[in-house]
Amino acid sequence: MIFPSTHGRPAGFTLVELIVGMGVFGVFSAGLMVAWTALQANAVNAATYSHRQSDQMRVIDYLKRDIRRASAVEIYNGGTVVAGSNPGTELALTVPDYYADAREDDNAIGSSTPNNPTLSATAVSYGGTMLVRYYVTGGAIIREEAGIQRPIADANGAFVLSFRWETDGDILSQIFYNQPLSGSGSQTLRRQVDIVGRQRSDLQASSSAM
Amino acid sequence: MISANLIPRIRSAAAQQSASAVIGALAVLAVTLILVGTALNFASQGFRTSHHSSRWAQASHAAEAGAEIALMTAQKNSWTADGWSGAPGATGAAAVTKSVTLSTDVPGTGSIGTAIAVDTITMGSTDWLRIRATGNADLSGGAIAGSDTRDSMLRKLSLRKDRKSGTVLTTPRASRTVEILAAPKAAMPFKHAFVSKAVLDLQALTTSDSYDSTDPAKSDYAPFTYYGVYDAAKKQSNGDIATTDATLPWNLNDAYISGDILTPNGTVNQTTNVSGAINSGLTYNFPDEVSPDWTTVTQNHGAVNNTSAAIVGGTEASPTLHQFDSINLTNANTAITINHPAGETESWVEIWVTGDTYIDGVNLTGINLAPGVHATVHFGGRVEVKGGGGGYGIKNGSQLPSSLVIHAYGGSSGAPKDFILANSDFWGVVSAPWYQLKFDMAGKDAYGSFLGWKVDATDGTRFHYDESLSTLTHGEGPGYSVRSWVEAVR
Repeated sequence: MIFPSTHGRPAGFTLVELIVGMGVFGVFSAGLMVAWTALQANAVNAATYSHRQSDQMRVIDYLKRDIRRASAVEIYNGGTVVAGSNPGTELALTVPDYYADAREDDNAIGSSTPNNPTLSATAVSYGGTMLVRYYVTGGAIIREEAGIQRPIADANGAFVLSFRWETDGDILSQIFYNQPLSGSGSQTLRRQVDIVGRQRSDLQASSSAM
Repeated sequence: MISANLIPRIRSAAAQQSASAVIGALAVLAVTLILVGTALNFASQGFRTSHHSSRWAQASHAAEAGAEIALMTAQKNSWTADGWSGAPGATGAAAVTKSVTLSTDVPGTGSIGTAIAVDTITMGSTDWLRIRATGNADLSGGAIAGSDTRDSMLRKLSLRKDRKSGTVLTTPRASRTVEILAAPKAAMPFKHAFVSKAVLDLQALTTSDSYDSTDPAKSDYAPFTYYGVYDAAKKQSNGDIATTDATLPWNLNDAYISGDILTPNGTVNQTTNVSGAINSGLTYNFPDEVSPDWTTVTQNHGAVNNTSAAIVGGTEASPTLHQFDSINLTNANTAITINHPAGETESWVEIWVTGDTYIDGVNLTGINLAPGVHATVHFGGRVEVKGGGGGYGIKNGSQLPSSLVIHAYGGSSGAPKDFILANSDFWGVVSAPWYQLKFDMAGKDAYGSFLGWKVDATDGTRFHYDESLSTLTHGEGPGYSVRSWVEAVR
């Protein structure tokens, strides 16, 4: 309430009013700060989730495509080839070097003239082959093609890859990310996707002509 | 008492407070809008990435569908009738094309289609079909690339122009191309004494020569009147042996081969006793073996375990069909005998053994085909047939290889099965592309033609290729089979 002064003008707020007002403002501001921080953290986490989902989807699409066109597959664990149902952390795929130039297949800039296929005994060949490897370095998933390394999923995701042979000859690939959440203490954003693929050696190994 | 100017002052203060509230509300609204916008942006990016990924996968399916469409036409050889621009010409001729819209039914997603081009390419002196099929799946949401350049590198979407042709697009789309090579089926694959995919393992005293059961000058007609059996005095030098393995030099172990050695490009050592040439450049089309798809059978014998069975053949147009789960004959005098209907001297039968076959018994034990019986046998499991001691093994009473045609469809590239013949003479034709054929037939003879993943022969096994088998059809029929698949990823 505004009181008139002795000169007919308001005398201002009393100390109590100011203290109460500042207190209310402080509480309100603190609430806003907390809410804003939480909103910021949620926004960051939403962005993180979106990025990790995109990363995971990209890795899945790469793996599905490359496994399908592979003529040979090996799974490694610590540099050693694993067999049976033992899991490994690296996948090595031998794929046809389909294009006539020396660029890696994934480099889309330039000529896209394919090699002419040739027949040798029972096998169809487009010339040489290329080695495509998938592994994790520092939390990032690396796709290495013909010796050229490209991260296809960010290190922030703390990705983990696992591969193993299924009993029917399929290849099980597990793509897992484990990124700490922003503003949530020790909570992490985790998601694993399993995909099963099979190389096309059924065709290429038995390829033949009369 | 309230002063005269108090009310306007109160009104002014109230107005200032209202303005502050509006500014505050606008600030909150702005922050909220930023947050909502950010969330929508993330959601939109996520949706776009997901949409691009799914359409990219659908483009792959569309490409596969295009290849299937081309193969269907190739099997029927009905290019023009199926709406193609023509039939594939000789090697070097322009490709024939066809475009097919596969789907327009999903609202808001655009169409899915495939554009196919087929030309001819000569490989191994045979004309193959090269099928290139591009699948296209329209994208919704405008010509906007994903937010990450790595997605663009992977999916290579055509947003405003077609990436390959440069054509301006009205609707952005995902495209993927597959290339398939299709070879003519192996219509008559029995052109050599034996052919293996892996290197041969022949012991030193193995021999191979040839004869012609349809030529009196190259076989002995007696005691039959319409075909001949092997006559050493009339033997020929076309007992060619072949392997399509090109990985290693291998040793022939100085086996006695009256014929040529055929390889793709491998070096063959120890060939002193080869009468013919060592030829490189072999290409060969192994026939595909598949399980029969009978829906009805004349008789299902189940699992035969040391019990005898009698089978009567049918006509050539309608052979009797007999199915077995497995065959195990090890006791003496247990046999599966195949005879003619009463009054007939020639009959036809087809047998399908889904499981393993094991025959090892003396005194009339085994499978016995009466002279004049024509049998086609399908084996799905492991096969081990031992004769000797009066046992039949598998006795082809006609002593004519073409009267016993064996299709072994079991095994795979990673797990070949055994096909073992031992201790007794054998007349027949064996097509077993994923079996290891083991001839443990010291002093015995194998007449016919044999195709396998690998061929092993012990000392003293004698092979006699019947040259008339070079025109024996396999039964695959006309058409093409897919021999290579690759995706054009750029």
